[in-house]
Amino acid sequence: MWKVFKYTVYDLLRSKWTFAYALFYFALTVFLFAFSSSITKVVVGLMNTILLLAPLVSTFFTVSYYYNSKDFVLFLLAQPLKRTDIIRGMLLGLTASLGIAVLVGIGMPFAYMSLTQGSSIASYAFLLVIGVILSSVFSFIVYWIALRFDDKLKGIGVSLLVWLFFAVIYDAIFLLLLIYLRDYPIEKLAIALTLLNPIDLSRVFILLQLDISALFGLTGASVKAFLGSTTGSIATFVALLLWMLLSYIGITVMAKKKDF
Amino acid sequence: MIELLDISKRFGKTQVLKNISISWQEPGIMVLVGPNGSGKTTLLKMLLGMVLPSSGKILFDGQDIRKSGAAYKSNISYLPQLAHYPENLSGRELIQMVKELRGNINQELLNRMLKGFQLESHLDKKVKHLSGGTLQKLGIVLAFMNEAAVYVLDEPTNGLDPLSLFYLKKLILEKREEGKYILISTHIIPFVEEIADRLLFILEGSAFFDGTLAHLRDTYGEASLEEIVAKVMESQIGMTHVESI
Repeated sequence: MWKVFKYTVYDLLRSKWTFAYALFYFALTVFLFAFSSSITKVVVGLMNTILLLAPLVSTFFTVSYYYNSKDFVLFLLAQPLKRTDIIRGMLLGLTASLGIAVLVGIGMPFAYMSLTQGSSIASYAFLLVIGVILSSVFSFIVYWIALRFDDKLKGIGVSLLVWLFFAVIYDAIFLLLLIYLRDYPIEKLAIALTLLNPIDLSRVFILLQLDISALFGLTGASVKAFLGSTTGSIATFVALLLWMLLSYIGITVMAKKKDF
Repeated sequence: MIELLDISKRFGKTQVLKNISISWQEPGIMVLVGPNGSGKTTLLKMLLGMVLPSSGKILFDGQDIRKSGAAYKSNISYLPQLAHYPENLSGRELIQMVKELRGNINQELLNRMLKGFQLESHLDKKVKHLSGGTLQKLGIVLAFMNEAAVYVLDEPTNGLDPLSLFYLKKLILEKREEGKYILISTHIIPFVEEIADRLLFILEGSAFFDGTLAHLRDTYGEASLEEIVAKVMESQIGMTHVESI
């Protein structure tokens, strides 16, 4: 597995797309630091960018990498390697490259600022963690979809639909549901629905760390009211990891029985 | 060495292979021919465990390949039909990777092949900057640099210039001399005539003919191999053609 991982990372870190992605984060972070009056504004600006961009870029990156490397998977399958090791190695290489782009792009300006300005900037490192995890969650889900569909167009279509669903449609349905059921106590339902969407989970997690109640919205407030900041943070974080675990199991099952 | 026991494969509604049984115990060159879409590549992929049979089993050295894990593949070397490698890696890195993955490398032959195929000047270029023919040559090098008992080559002549084709033939014959099993799928009939010890003719997923060239001529008359193959394929295509009209 680690040999496949190594060469996947070699390949991807030299890709101009990885570089462009990291550069974008870098420019944005520098820009936000330069023009925002407070660190909270920087963090909120970055949060909104990450929540929108990380899933979308992960989706595109993963789906195009999977279909471009199909012949390479065949080549690896001809070597004395287990199917699951090949798939795991590639997946891990993919998520590592996306993660490195986030870490370098956002992390470098953050590190520089916390070294020069001192202060508590380092305490916002959770933003990086969420960036990496949210990227990985979408990478895993999309890899699973790509394994399922041999047809490239279908794979890309379904992946984008999944992204669109979690990024836009889900919130719309959520909102409609809340309006429709506004006469009932729906806080628990709101929490449950949040747990089912990795993007919402990430948002709530970040807001809980920031503790800006004005930005909480209903779900954030419900999570805080029912679980408290600490338990709420742990619960949302664990739910994010569960998303990864679930897709990972799906990928393993699919990899074992698939015809390549 | 290799035994296919009543192999069938279906992809959804399409039956790709139907009850194929082959026993291959004599070293030498077996050539797989058949029209496009007859199931040649699927058959080769099955040998490598990439495609799983719907029914039947495959024995490699007496062992069921579904039960023996991936270890048997260190004894089988494969040249895929379309060579596609991670585009940002160089040829040298790919060779290094195969060395790490397999370990059992013939360094003398590797050096000789890099010279023979004139690949040395291309080794440090990224794969995405290589031409189709150069990629094919690199694929051949990656397949033959391994010490294996069986070599599986899916359309190895694709995109090769005459000199490289000549060199490829030399390599294949050298492996035959060493007592290896070489399985080649191809559409190039003169190439078949030159090197085949045994011919496997697949039509619509079934083994239509399995035997030596001489045996094929005995059965279908003294015509050239090209004519025989064309005639057989035509009769099949002709039938389906009439039906579809």
